Amino acid sequence: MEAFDKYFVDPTFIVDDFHGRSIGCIWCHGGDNSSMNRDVAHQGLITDPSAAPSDSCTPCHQATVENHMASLHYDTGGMFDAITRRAGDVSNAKFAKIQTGFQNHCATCHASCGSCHVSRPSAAEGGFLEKHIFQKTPSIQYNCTACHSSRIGDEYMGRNEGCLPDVHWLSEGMLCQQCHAVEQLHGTGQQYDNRYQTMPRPQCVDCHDVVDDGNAFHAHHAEPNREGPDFVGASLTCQVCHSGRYKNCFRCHTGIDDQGLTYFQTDSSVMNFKIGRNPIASDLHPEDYTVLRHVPTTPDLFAFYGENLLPDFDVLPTWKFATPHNITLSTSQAESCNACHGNDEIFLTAADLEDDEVEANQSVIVNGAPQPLSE
Amino acid sequence: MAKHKLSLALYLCLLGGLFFLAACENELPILHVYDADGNDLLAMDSGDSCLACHADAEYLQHELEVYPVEEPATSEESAGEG
Repeated sequence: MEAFDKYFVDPTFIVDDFHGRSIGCIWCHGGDNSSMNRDVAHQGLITDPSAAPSDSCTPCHQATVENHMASLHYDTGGMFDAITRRAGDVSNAKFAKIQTGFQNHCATCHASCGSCHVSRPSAAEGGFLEKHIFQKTPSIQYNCTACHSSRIGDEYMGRNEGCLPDVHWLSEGMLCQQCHAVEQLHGTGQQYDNRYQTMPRPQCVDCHDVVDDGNAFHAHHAEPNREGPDFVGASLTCQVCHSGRYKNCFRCHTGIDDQGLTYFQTDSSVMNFKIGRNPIASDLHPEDYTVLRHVPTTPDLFAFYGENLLPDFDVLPTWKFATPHNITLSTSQAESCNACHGNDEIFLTAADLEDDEVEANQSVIVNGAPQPLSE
Repeated sequence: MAKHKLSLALYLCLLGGLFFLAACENELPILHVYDADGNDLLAMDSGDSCLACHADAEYLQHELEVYPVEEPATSEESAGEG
């Protein structure tokens, strides 16, 4: 984005936008609005006021800000929870090194109020959305998928070679907020360990009734039919049948280069599709099997900051519960019963694991595909 | 003679003042945005001078060319949750 687009403010901001008309500039941004000298006017400038929303946004949006500050979007708590659990003892000196690494590399993805309602997120190089005019509804292109890009945006919009867009996008042009309620995005004040716990959460069955719909696959495998007469003993998440190949990332390493700049590097990502046991089986996600996505964490993720900082690395799998956003009605694995049964290639087995993640994934791998059926 | 010196001094003061104003004119952006009723919208901003620069496209473009903003350096390979 050109620098101009990051700093040009629509002149009507102070007329048509409530924030501009009622608040002005320095309430949020600080600085000295009595000076026409650039350096003086910019002294004490706050470039992202909502990075500390309690100062700028709370006076008018108190409830929303309080909820947001407990949300995963704000505190990146999902990543921090996983790192903390892999770290084990959080009271030791090693954990301080992990926190430094986390702040340098992981926490930079957090979203402030302005990251969605005024600008593009800083993780995506920032820049005004509409010349500083506040946007009640964020842009799927410049906000949501600016961060949730390669694993959500590219899959949803079919940008991966040979992969179809999600039918909800292709046929209906559905935007993120049509499934993800504002309460889920802003947060409700409740702190969660990961996004699969957040409430309210979208569920396919909110729109698609799979009970008594005449679909044999649903009768055999859909969780809502678990007590039904045709259920065959293993419930599947919807994505097992309706998702295509998705992106998996491997072996992230972090550090600081010779110029003092933080960096992270990953191996090449891989498009594939793997079914395994549900690692977060619970009342919220009771399915037996799900698709699993590899996250790029490694035992030496923070090796730059110290030795053996993640001694309990194996407490969580590196192949995680996933909900790829590339849903289609027809998929190759759901063409017939034996497109899945007997098809070892689409199941996560020990052969798919790196040596240093075998233990971590014992709870999610299977020995192979279920036996083929006589059609 | 003294009268002529005083006139010259006044003339020089006047000339200096004009140069000063001209310099200010060049240095400071002068932007007015009027609504349909002829009201100066920037004047409504309680003396806020920020938009005098940030809402003047031509001036801002010029400023950014002369005083480019240094973006935070990074060597990240990629960004976002991915």
